[in-house]
Amino acid sequence: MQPVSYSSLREQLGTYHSLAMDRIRSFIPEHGPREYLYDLVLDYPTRGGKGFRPGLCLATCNALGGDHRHAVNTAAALEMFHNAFLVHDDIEDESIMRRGKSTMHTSHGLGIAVNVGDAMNVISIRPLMDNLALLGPELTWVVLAEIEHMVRQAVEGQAMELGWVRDNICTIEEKDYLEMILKKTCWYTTIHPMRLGALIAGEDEAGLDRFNLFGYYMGAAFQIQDDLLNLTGDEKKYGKETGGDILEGKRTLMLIHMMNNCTKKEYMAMKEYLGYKRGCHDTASIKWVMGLMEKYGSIEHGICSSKHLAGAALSEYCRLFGGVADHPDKELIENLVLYMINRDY
Amino acid sequence: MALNSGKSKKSVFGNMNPDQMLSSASGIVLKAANILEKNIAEGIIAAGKVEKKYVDTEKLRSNKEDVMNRFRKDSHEALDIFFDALNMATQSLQELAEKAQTVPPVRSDPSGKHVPVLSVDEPLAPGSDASIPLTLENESDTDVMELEFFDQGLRLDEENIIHKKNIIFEPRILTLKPREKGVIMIRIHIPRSAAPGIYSGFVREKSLAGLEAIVRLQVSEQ
Repeated sequence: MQPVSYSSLREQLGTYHSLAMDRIRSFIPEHGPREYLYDLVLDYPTRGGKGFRPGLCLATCNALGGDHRHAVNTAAALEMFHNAFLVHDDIEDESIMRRGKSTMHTSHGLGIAVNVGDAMNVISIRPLMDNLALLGPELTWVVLAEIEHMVRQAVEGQAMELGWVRDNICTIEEKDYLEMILKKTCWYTTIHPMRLGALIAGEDEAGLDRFNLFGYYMGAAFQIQDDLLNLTGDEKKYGKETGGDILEGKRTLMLIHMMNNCTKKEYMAMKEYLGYKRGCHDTASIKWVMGLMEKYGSIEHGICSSKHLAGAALSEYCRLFGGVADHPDKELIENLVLYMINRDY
Repeated sequence: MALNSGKSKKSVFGNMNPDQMLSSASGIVLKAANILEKNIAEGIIAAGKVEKKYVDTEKLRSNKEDVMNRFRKDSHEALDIFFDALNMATQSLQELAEKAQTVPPVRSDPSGKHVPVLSVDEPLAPGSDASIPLTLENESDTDVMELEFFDQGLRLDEENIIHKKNIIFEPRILTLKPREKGVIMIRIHIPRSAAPGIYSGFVREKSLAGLEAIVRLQVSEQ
């Protein structure tokens, strides 16, 4: 039983997600290769994502006294960039399930999927161009600079993770993992959505950095919870194959913890295991790795780390929003921190 | 909802509450804070360098019309730019690969008996530019080579010379690992005043005796 009811939070996130999606739909051309492109562009975004990114952006804008309607273009771009990342991420990781259905490349082939991801990236640019009429040139420029940083950090983080897997790097420490998820996840999932919401609410550029630590703690808690769900979550709710990260050789916090604590013999066996390609593993091997993680308390370490980071995020939240007038969206942001580590999908 | 007001928050964290958790902050929280600080410092330095190099942001931001013009494109134009850039990159790569394959690697020949000739097939108009790939191979199994070429210009006769300032090598220095191949592009600008005829001249490596080639090209009428 969950101690906090998240139904109203999910409802509000759903509302914000719908606003972003409506805007995205308005940018999909009527004509053109629908079957091979534009219908597929809407596939991932309409699979029932949680809508964290547009939600955080719009809620931050409202909570700081702005009008969320001014931030809808930006929220739409965030959601579209996110889904474009997912399409390419699934190809890079050779994943087979996303949000309870087959991944894009599994259903439609590699070439189509790569092109759909490219199109989604291009379509993300359009709402940012439309900001010009709504926000004026100066703010539009600053928003673009934020987005450029966000996307660059995400691809750098993804490169780190892919490189570790490709070269079978097994000497990774907790600090390396934290740096990787800062780049791969946190900037674009939590930090920039809040920075952008605050910016559009009228926050001075110089004041945006105060959201960095809060966003990082929250995003790191989110990513560790995501990795935990991949290991122990209900596949039907979570929407991805359980143990998929193990099959993909992902360097999660739990894997890193286990490999830094196991015996030399186990370490060498794990290194050999991670050196094989995904297709070489079976479900029995997932159980073996999970067994090692349980033996060395790695799952518990992940849960504890996620909670500690969420606790730190709540402390930062109080520092940031303590002086802000009460507002339903202020409460939403606070509840989002807890939801990040208590969600089951 | 205030941070410490409800029992619900405490139960979510088990026996811990957020303040206690922070005060007994696990290493992971402190590590995260340090990593963020380091990344931001690096990012600020890098961003500053990029901005200074390419964009006068203050000027740009103060000129609203200029900024407006940068965004007066529709999505089709954005797509076109994207695909044009992609096509151009693919084409250039293909052309470079084709050229590089047609020119055998230049080798050092102290006797001077087998100096290769690098030529441009089509006549070049005054004012135009030409690029000739110079393919090189490090035949050593152990040593790394650093190659730097120079030239003395291309001559038609005693009076008509394409001066060396019109000839550049890219990269200026080519580093080759053992058994590695590489290409230096010789970029030549034909001056508008160049007289028609066949020009030629040597390009030589600065320190390896005999590592040289003859560049030959024809300049057409205006």
